[in-house]
Amino acid sequence: MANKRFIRNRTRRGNAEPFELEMSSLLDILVILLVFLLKNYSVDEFALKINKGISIPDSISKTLTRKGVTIQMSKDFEVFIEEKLITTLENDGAWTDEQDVLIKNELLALKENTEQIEMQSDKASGFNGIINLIMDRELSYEHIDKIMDISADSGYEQFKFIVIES
Amino acid sequence: MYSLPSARRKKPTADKLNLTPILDVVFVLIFFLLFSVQLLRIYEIGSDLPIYQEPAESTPQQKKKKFELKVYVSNKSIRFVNSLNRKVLERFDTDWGNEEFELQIEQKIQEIKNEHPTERRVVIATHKKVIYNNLVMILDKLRGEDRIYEMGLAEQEKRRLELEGEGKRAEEIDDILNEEMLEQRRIGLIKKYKEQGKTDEEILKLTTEVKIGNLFNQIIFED
Repeated sequence: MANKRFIRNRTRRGNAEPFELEMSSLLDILVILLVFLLKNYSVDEFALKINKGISIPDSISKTLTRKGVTIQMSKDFEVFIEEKLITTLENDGAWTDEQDVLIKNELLALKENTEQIEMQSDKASGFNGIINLIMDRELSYEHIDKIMDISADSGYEQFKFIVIES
Repeated sequence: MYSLPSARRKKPTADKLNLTPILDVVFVLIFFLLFSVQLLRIYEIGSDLPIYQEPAESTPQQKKKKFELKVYVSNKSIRFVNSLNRKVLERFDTDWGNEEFELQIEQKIQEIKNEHPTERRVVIATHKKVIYNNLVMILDKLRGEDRIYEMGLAEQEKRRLELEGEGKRAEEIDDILNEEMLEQRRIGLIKKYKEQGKTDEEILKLTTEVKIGNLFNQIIFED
């Protein structure tokens, strides 16, 4: 009796179906995620990267950003040009001549670089004088003014204050 | 009689769709889109003209101008001044963060724009201790939100020359241009409301008192 049952069960064990993962619900979630990401997809090659620790002001502006040199300043008075840390102001944000020169030199170098590329290639977009100002919302106007002054001295005369949608 | 399991009839099973390749494609697409997604919408406020300096020579057009808005911003007060005759149009005590204060500023700017609809330039003189966030709020009020088509600068100039050619005086030209701007504004709004599906009665009600949008969007910071 036990022997017959053993033979019967052995056949069932041999024919056991492999475990199948139910993927349709996972696919539902992924499709919804895909739709959401497609909706937010941006074809614009120019994307601004805002450094950690900088909280930009919000605004009702709907003017899209354009490609240009990016200068950022955090509330701790760190100054970045194209995501590269150039200098940090000390003593609660006091400016020194050396810092002016450092920032100006960096901006001039970028300008010169763009102009050299423009000379070498017809397809290169030339120097457009645009400077994107990514400033922390807590900064006082004197720092914004200083950055604008240095930028204007370096040939960047189109100031774009970068804001976030309110 | 005992029969082999293989000889028994098996129930026909439906063919299942193999979801693995679809899942592979979806995963790859998701990774690609995740790297390019922009969740935060970033915009700009432009100040295209260089830091303001006194012009060495005024053009005939500038000599005829009777109004240029200048806004003095400090942590104590905000003053709206006609920089050509230095007349103070309005003064407000600042109260940053107060909605009523922001509304007063907005209403005053709208009022000034209604009186001078062709004027787009504003000079801002800001005290160094004003916080950037508050300055952006003022810029928002000055620039306005609605961007319905108005007469462009080139078109304004062309129309102005035409009217000068007809022998009209400067004040008459300004009045005619104001009316034409308001009419263009009205036409733009009617088109917008029709697209939104509003009825003719609603459109008439909304466009009876037309305000000029697209306010002072040529911002110059005083040095």
